[in-house]
Amino acid sequence: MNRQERERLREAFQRAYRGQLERPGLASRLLGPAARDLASRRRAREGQWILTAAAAAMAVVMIAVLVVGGRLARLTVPAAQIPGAAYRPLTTAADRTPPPVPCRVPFLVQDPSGPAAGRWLQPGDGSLSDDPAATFDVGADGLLHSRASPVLVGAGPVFYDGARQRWLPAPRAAISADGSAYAYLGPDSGNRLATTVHVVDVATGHDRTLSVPGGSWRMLDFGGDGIYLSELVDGLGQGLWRLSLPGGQLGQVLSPDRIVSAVSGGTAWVLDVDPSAPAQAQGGRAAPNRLSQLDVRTGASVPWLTTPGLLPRVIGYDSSGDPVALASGPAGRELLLATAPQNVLHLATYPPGLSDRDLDQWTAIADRTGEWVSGLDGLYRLEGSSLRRAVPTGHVTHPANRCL
Amino acid sequence: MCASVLESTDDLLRRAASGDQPAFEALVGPHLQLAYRLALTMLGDPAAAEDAVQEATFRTWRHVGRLRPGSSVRAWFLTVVANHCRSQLRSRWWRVLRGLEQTESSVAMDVDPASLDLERALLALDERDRAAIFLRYCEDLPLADVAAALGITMTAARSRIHRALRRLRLQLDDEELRG
Repeated sequence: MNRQERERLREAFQRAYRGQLERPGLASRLLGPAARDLASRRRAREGQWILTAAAAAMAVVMIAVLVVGGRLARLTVPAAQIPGAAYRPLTTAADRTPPPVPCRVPFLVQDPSGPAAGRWLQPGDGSLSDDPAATFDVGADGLLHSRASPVLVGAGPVFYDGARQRWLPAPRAAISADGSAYAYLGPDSGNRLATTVHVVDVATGHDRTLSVPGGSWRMLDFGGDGIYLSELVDGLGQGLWRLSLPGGQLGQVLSPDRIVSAVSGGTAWVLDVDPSAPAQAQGGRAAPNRLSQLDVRTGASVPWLTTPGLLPRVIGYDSSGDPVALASGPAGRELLLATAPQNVLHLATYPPGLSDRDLDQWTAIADRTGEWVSGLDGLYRLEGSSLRRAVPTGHVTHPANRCL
Repeated sequence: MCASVLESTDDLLRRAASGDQPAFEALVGPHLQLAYRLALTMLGDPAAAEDAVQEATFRTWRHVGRLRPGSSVRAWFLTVVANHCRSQLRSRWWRVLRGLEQTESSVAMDVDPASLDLERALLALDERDRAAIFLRYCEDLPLADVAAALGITMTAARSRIHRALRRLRLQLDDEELRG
């Protein structure tokens, strides 16, 4: 583009935005002594907006519930028992004290010698409390069985439904948007011809079963239009399928040449091999070492994260919607946050010796106080770039929702 | 003298990461107007654009400890702004508002398609295409920074810019033919 065209383009932008490309006083409003406390300023603006536009505020609340309570908190974590070990955080950023908000974080402690138990943490003062309604026994079938009535059975780990004030034995991604039902896959019975999908009514505990062909699937999302599944081949989820409800028809969304790690709304996180980086060998082929964001509707994908020699997997999202990934390989595991394409932050390194089954449990849930992350010996919180243990438990611990 | 006044970006980053708000403001302040213009090109509304910059400033303050020494604060800040704008555009409430605007716009286009001029053609572009050519040609940002701000690869950024310019140049040709 020559100088004349460029100048014409600039003038066109000025005209298009009616000379409003400069915003006088912006810095003084957003920064400086009068606006040092950005959080309180934001709250004040939100309050003002609520007063002057009730309808708009209701929409904002709806969006906040959908985004914070739904998409950002989604994870994919079947249940298992795992041994204890220690974290080695790689970063030492300064502690950023969370805002003193009057909320509590539910979390689940998996003591192998007893039932799984839900507890509450008050981030403001660090106080803890038990919850008698949050006890789950591990059955002979390996599933979690609630002691509260009606008895709810699921593959775990556990999510606390704040609206219904109920602990559910399923991850957020396996719960319907309205919280009325959740789904889990039946335990492996050796049947290689079909897999049972259980859809449980939360109010009654009624368990309805559907069948999908093939013996190995992974549940990715309980969406508004059905349950999204991926077929497991060599431990990798191939393709994306939608099991429609209530009919139970299975339809293909993405072809099996796509390896899908997670689904959230219209976005899928897919894996492939970045030929410019080392990759593990798996089944005589190179294992995926790259995570990409795929728009399911258009098929457009953006490479997001390359993990040389490691297999990445999305376990949650931070407060900006960026993926938190766990990358595993023979030498160990890395917990990573990709804030932009190829802009990767290493959060923690886990020691070798954990099995892939152990890692399937890992969970990350974001809220206004930070990101809550599973731990081998307690509940961890991501503060800035540093992963810190917020609650030592001595056992595997998972966040069960955001701060409520 | 200069050393005491002109602190390096890395020093400011370290101080900001430890909770020093004046240091954070020194890092982000110079980029506020650019961030606002980016938000305006994506959202089209000055008040919404300022809100987006405010939200992005808040988020950047929360996560400034994640920025590694040597990183570009400007590129990171613009990325946060663009991400927030995109999430705004995806929101149900925003789509309702935009849907109404687009309906009115399409009616006008039906009446007189030939009346589209360059600024209307700009406004008719996809918001990321529009933001891409704005950052590249009005703000003179390097292609890498444009790509980072929009959360896409350099190849994708180049493709967006070419596509947008192609459309605008077609429009320019039409104008010249009419003139």
